[in-house]
Amino acid sequence: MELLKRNKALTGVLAVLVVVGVGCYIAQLVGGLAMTGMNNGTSWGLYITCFMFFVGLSAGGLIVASSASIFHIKKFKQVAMPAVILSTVCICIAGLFVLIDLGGLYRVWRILTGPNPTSPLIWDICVITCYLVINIFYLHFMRKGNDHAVSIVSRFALPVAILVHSVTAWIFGLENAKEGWYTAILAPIFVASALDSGLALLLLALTGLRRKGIFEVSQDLIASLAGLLATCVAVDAFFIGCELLTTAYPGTEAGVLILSELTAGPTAPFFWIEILCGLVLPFCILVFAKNRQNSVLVCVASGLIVLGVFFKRIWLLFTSFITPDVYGAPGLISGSSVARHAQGVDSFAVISSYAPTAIEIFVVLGVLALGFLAFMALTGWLIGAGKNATATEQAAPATA
Amino acid sequence: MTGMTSSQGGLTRRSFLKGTAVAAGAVGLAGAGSMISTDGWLAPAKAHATPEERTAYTYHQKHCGGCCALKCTVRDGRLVLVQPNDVGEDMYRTICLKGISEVTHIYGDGRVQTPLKRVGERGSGQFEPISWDEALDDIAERVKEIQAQYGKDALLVASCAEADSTFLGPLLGAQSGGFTGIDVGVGNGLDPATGLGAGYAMSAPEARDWARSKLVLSVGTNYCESSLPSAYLFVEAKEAGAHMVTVDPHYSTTASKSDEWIPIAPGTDAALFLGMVSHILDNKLYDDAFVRQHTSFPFLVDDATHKLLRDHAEDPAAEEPETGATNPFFVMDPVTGNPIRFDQMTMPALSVTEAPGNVGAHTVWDLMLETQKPYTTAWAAEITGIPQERIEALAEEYAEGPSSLALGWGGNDKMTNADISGHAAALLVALTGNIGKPGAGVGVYVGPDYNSWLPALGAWPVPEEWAAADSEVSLYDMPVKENNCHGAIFWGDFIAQHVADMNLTTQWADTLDLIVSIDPYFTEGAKWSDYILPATSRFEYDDEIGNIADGYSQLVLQEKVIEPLFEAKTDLWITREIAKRFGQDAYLPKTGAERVEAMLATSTDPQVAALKLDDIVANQGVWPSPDRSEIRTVADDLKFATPSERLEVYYDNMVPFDQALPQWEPCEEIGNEDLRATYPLQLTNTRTRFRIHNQYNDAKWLQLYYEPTVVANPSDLEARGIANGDIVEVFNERGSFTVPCDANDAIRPGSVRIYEAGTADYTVAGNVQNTTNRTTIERGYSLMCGPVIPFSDTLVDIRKA
Amino acid sequence: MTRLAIVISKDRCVGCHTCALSCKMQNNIPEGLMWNRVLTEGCDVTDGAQGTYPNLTRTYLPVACQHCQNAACQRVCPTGATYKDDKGRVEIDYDKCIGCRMCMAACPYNARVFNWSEPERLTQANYGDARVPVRPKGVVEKCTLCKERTDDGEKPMCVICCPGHARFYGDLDDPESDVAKLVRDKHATALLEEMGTQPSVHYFE
Repeated sequence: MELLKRNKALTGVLAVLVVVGVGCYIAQLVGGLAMTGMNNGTSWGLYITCFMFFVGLSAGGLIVASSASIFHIKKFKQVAMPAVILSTVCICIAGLFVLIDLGGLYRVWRILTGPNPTSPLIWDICVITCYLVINIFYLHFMRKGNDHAVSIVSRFALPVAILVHSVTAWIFGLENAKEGWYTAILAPIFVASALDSGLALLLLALTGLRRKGIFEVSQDLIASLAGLLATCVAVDAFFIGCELLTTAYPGTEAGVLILSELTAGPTAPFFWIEILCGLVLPFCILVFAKNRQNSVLVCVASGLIVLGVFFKRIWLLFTSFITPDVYGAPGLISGSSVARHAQGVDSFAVISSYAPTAIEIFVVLGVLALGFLAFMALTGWLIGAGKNATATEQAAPATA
Repeated sequence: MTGMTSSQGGLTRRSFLKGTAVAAGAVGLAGAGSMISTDGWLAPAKAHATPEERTAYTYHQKHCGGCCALKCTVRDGRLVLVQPNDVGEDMYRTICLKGISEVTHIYGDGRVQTPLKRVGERGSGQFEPISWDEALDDIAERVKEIQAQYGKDALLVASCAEADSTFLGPLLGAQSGGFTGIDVGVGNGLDPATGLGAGYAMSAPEARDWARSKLVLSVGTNYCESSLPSAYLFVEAKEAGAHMVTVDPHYSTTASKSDEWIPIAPGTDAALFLGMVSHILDNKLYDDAFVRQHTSFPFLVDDATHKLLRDHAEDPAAEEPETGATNPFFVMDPVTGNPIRFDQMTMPALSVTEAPGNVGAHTVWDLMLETQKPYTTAWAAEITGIPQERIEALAEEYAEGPSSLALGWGGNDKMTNADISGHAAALLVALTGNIGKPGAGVGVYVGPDYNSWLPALGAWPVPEEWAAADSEVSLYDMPVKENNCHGAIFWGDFIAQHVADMNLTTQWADTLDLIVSIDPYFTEGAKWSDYILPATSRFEYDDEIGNIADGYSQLVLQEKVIEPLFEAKTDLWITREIAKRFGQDAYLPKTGAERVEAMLATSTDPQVAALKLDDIVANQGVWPSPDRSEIRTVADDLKFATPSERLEVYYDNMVPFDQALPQWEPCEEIGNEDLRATYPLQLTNTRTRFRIHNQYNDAKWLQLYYEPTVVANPSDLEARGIANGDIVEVFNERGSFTVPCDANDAIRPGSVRIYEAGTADYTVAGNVQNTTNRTTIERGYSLMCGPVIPFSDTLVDIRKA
Repeated sequence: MTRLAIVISKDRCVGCHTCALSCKMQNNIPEGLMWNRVLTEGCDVTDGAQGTYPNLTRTYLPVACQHCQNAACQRVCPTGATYKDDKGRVEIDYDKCIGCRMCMAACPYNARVFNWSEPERLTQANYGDARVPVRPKGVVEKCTLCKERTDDGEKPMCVICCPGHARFYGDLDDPESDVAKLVRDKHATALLEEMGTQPSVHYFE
């Protein structure tokens, strides 16, 4: 609460964004997902992109924190609290995006009454729930200062964190209908992306907290986290390289198509920006120890990595939607004629396209703002104003 | 481009369409209350009753020859389901996407909902609603004025094939607009030879006969689209082993379903046939006995007059031509060399050279050998673009037979030289005897009911004084020739649909004192009307029984499916109300049932005459023709409906035009090389599965698949910097229209294609007819059905709009 | 076992879209959705052609739910809303559908469509067969093989309306059925066989 109060302007802006987002979501509830840019061809959009992205972002925190316990990396321990807060907020956001994306939210209880064990989505829900619970326990025990409990929880946290990214990847990676998704390396890619984007976000958060004077982090720690980040970026790049090579080498029709769309099609800007600005450039920055000592450069690299991974989510998700497996005119029937403003022959599309609507963007901004507020509140409660018991009680409703 | 474009100036295509949706239903109807709103009219009749469902039977379009018998489900007073009537064998249970689209189409924005009176300039599309009484009183008054001032024939009552409009023209003594100029191109040239087909080339057997053919040669016809309800007959013939060969400039649906597609230069069908004729002659592939016994090839032609030798000169004023029995033709006795009555010689000489002496005449055969000399296969290859060897092989295959020659209305038919191709086809048939036997036939196979066992329906008896006046000038010539038409009642869109060169047509329409449009839908032509009267669709009637029709080897009954929508009235009701204002209504049937009973009772077929309406109702509205398990064929006895009962290939009346035997002539416009330099693309107007002419323009479910689009070969588009999907202007000196464009390799380079009846409300701008060619050639007026309107003999260019 | 199926002759299909619209009518499918689409295979314009004039080919390909035996959609559905019934049809229990659209991503045939908004119909009323359930906003739908008709022993609407007589309906598990014979004798194949979905819908030339 302290933090929120201290940054009234920021809090105000964020609150407005949340209110706008809620309004847009209500509009979406009333009008249906037709208010979004999604359609029968590209049936997932910005929400699922954000879902993937935030599942990934939440990883960095928990992995850093739990490695600290498991592998006794002392210096990581200092940042465990902000790391796990970040992780918790991110996973909540990720879950929220799935719920927002559902067409029949009011039937969501059907998941509990009749879960289909072959659905990766069911397992993802389970793993994410576990992950969230672990995060909460983690926070709880850290707050209580119960190191033993923390070290026990962290032993579960690490594999569950890995699993969260893997199962999320399997939502996509097990669908052989989508050439660009169906690959065994998708789970490793997700884990690697989670590590680099999560760490990068953690670095940004730590730098931010340090600058605000809320949480002191040594430049050494920043540098060593940045070193770890460089490694993760390299691993991520390696996995992507493996995937691209495997897709390209046999020269299959489907493989060539997906690669041409990736390198020269509608998703190409995202692909190239990710490769160059999200992998190559930050790696080149972070690979030099001197640069890792420069917090501006670390922040720039981290920002680029986060952006790059977001772009990767975009090209990963959308490239496989562009060209239907069964191709021919008139093509796919887009969906709601109201939302698509489509009439007659324009109701069909030979290749699928997608652009988020204003409603979708505002809902996403609203959720991000909510996450930011939650992070501020939780940080204020658990770190900045940890001693202030009354602030704790007030913070709870603010994050709800 | 007159008022049409200005009315939409500055609007985007979408907003314009939206605008017209309103305009179409209730043009400028502010204040008309619930009448304007579709919702009010479409609200369930019994909101709190439990859904009541019932079935009714009717038939669909006569126009396409499908006349599909339909089973309709009605729930809460609404049409909710249309499916094939499930009475009878599978092959008669037909339907296509147009029938299904009616479930939403009849409730569509395009319906005229109330009688409308024009308030703006003609063509501006501004109308106000008026009551039926007011509209009918006004119309009757003005018809009386016009007829009093200029004579009865000053009124034109013209009707499209779909309307139930038979009584009005005769009862008003109005003229009907004469020849139509549509679908008569090939028939004009073919039908005098067979005596069949009525000028429309409707001389073919049922398409089922194809399964017995060795070769089915389709030329200028797209059967798999224009005869959609019976498309299965095409594929079944192919499966039965018939060699399906389609000649078409474009890779049509039918071409793609054929064993072989032979691309041809547009407007050169006649050259192909003439080349085939030469090859058949050169290689003696003709059926010698058939030629001598069943054709006019052995007939003698007077060297001096170039006319067929007859017993005596025909009285030019005679109503019916004299028969071969009353005024015989002459052939040559091959032994004596003397002319002899054709019916007294079984194997006459084919050529005068077969016998000694000089009789001052030559046989038709002799003349043909002479006229065919230039038409070598090498020449034909040059003209048509088909390789010489392919033409020769095709001629051989056709001659071997049994072969079906399927001709059409949508291709070369719409060009100035169409009659020559029909005439040349007649030569092919006459040479090879590919007619009157299983698997052989010629003509238009499209439209299952046209060539089927049509039960003979009688007619409602009308007073003798009811008679339509003659049309001295046909409708298509009214814009350019002096005539006595001062007012018109149109059932259907005559202004935009039946006449080419629309800017000229509308100028003429604007000179008329009265135009009335009767149509369920708001059409382009309606914009030039003074009054628009809303007619019911096929599915609405004000009585339990509407009408009866001769369908595909069956009688089909029109039952009331739903109550008339909006303020629409049946054609019969409208006729009766007009008749009332002329004191003539007592002679009209009071109910549909009364009329149907009369049509049955007056049939010349005793079986039909004995039918009771209730029996047909009990059989789901269908009475199957008793013979229909047999394939209906044509001229089995090889007796043709010509004066000599033979295939008469020599046309006396064409002597002045040097076309007594078919002589190649390029198309008037697309054959004009100078004009081609300016407008290098031929614009072909074809039919499509998505429309029947302009019908269904406003059917939303069909709009999913087609909106007026010009389709061009990618090479022609690239040359003009146009990309697939761009909006283009199609233009020539007559006018222009603007539509999206598709790049499609199926289109012959040098041609662009658009489906018929793209009217301004459905294009980005303008009517397709703004560009089309109306030239009527002189020879045309001596043909059976007058000149054909050469809609596709049109040159244009396109540019990015 | 019963395995109801539609077998389609690509040679007989004239690309008229009657099956698609008859399906739309029968099943009360709202605007913007289709359960059945007829594609001009491999072309980016309807009625286009592959090749260069005059060396051209064209195939029409009607595509709807393939009623796969190894149905990807059914496997990924989190709530079991998509299920395989005792007649071999893949069906949807609309009450269980949470609108997550996993199945749409999983279906290689793009056979599934989603009610993005409150269903909208041109006539502002339901049309089609009264036995067909009305689907609300937020659920996925697709070809049911005319469940309501086939349950009562009738043929699917697309089969009875097809002007090319290109569609055949029956039980693939009955070796004497038309469809089983066609699959056997005409060497009918399935769409995207390499996906391993084992469709019941088959195609032959």
